[in-house]
Amino acid sequence: MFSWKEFQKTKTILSQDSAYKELMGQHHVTVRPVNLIRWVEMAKDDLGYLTLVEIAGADLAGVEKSEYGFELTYHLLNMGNHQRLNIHVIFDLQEIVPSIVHLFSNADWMEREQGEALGINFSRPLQALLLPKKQTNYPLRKIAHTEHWPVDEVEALPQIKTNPNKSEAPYAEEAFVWKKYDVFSPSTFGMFDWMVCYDPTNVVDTKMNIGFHHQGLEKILEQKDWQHVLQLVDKIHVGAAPTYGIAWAKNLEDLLRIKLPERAQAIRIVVLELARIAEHFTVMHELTFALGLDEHRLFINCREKIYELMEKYCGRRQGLGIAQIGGVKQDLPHGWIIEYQSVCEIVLKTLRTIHRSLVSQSKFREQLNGGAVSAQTVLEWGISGPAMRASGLNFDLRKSQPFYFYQDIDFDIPVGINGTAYDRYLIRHEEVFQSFRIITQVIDNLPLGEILSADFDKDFFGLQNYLGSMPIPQAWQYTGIESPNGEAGFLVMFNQSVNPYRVKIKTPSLPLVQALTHFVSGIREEQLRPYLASLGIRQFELDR
Amino acid sequence: MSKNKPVLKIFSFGHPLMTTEWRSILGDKYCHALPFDYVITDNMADASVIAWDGVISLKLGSLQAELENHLTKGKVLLLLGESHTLFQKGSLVRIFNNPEIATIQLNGWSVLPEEILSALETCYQKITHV
Repeated sequence: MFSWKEFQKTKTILSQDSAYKELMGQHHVTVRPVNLIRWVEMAKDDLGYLTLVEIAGADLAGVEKSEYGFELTYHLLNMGNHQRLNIHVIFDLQEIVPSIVHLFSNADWMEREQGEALGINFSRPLQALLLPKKQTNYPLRKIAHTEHWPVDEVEALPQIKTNPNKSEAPYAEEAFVWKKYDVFSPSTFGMFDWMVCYDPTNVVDTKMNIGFHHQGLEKILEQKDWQHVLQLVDKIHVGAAPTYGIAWAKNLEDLLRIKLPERAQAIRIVVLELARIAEHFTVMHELTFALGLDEHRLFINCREKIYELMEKYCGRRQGLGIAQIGGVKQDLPHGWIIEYQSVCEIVLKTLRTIHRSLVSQSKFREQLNGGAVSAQTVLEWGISGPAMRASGLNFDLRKSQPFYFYQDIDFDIPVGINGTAYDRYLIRHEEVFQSFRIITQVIDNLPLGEILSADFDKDFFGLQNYLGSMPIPQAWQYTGIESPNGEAGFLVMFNQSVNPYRVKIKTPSLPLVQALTHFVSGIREEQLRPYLASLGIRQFELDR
Repeated sequence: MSKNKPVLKIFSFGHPLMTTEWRSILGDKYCHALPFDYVITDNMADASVIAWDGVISLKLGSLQAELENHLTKGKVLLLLGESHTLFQKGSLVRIFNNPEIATIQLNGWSVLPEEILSALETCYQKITHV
């Protein structure tokens, strides 16, 4: 849980350097590339910032009085006392930024992403991640050409020369087999190109190629105003649509210190939990569908009930466009609570029946066992959500840094032991019960009053003028919330305007894909699909 | 699934709705709404309907020939939704303008299951009557 006492302690240590700044309960230090490694090492080893959440680069061409041309922000999290540290590195393009991949394994893709999008020179050779190799358009620069792009050739399977595990080979080298699953293959859910090495029955290594659905969402968001961003971000994860909309609204509200009416906070909790339930049902459906079990249909039936509830609330099945700066768009309609109570009863009863049926099937238990992921691996790769909790780490933003009034609600965070797909299923199953428990408590104590702050009860142009008149600093602002699949949020650079200057999307899916080799190591080929399904990776969350 | 009814095999690719609304039509609420059966298949070659958002991204460009090859083999392309892309759409137009590809288009992001069913019925008619 976040504590101001701990925060002040860390502040005292960090502020010994003159480049320290505090903003919205987060630490910010600004350093030059030459000092980056020293700061990151200190943060990790001495201050307990063991998780690298995100790296965001920005071209400062549009920032007045900027001494340097580019900036990289390293957003670190201390899970123990829930403090967040932003290390800003300022530099010019000809300078080399030291890589921190030896300190945080998940920095690999983040550095590759910033390297290709902004043309930043890191102290190690970087391969393209989302864009074609050898491109020099650097789309996230303020002046960028995005018309002509080289086309990548289809990659051939790697030649096996050594044991990919770099350990004692249990089989002769020729026993290893590489298989390719392209983006059209069912094993990849249409998301990436995947080369998997078997020994020859179990997975020992994988090679991933992502970016097949890359649409440049971060650049698109930079070109929009805050209101359009609100419309677009819902689509990052359509299945749990309110999540990103609320995360974006919360980011602006935190920056502008807007206090939400209690009723609006309550409604936001309700829709967030409904979205969580719907997404867990989708994942459990995909899991059982991949295993060829008939129960998949029952999960969809349950989800349908949740979508109907959502539709009765806002008119849209998945809850698109619920969030509004300063509150929510609609109040709960008359009779909705009674409807909810009946749905809650039916769905929980059905879920108990499905669960009993599933866990009694040996096929279900056996297919989802194996490929255990340790808590250390999860930390190292920056994994969050059910995949992290299944490995035994008890961390959930609703508990560790409660937003709205989650701290007043009585609910539990289920934690697994082994980090297998079976554990992930159990976590999601239990989280559905906990989400219903949360909604029921909120509804039983639903505050009366407005659903929108008085200052924000205006039409679009009124709101635009009002926000335009507010003093907005030139600052980075990070807000994350607990989405169904992990931490989701936005690391946004504001440049004295409410419209974003640079938007970095934090999604739970990208770290999962990056660490996928660890999640599938040791499993058999027929387990690939259910394992992937259990992680809840979403295609659009891989977009940047 | 009835043995007498024809079965429409659907392959859904590259659209976020794949993981949301497509799954809804498998539930009991909608599965008997059409005069034929349908299944969501994992095999693109085996499918008769390919649902897609139509965006050829930068990396998908290298697989475009394979995609086009699949689409011209008597399949129906069901285009879903609108997509925002930063990148050029030149290569995408080539597929849209190909007279050999039968195309049904749905507009909007928040597609209702009823609309998907209606589109599937049209796809079915295209396959059986053309």
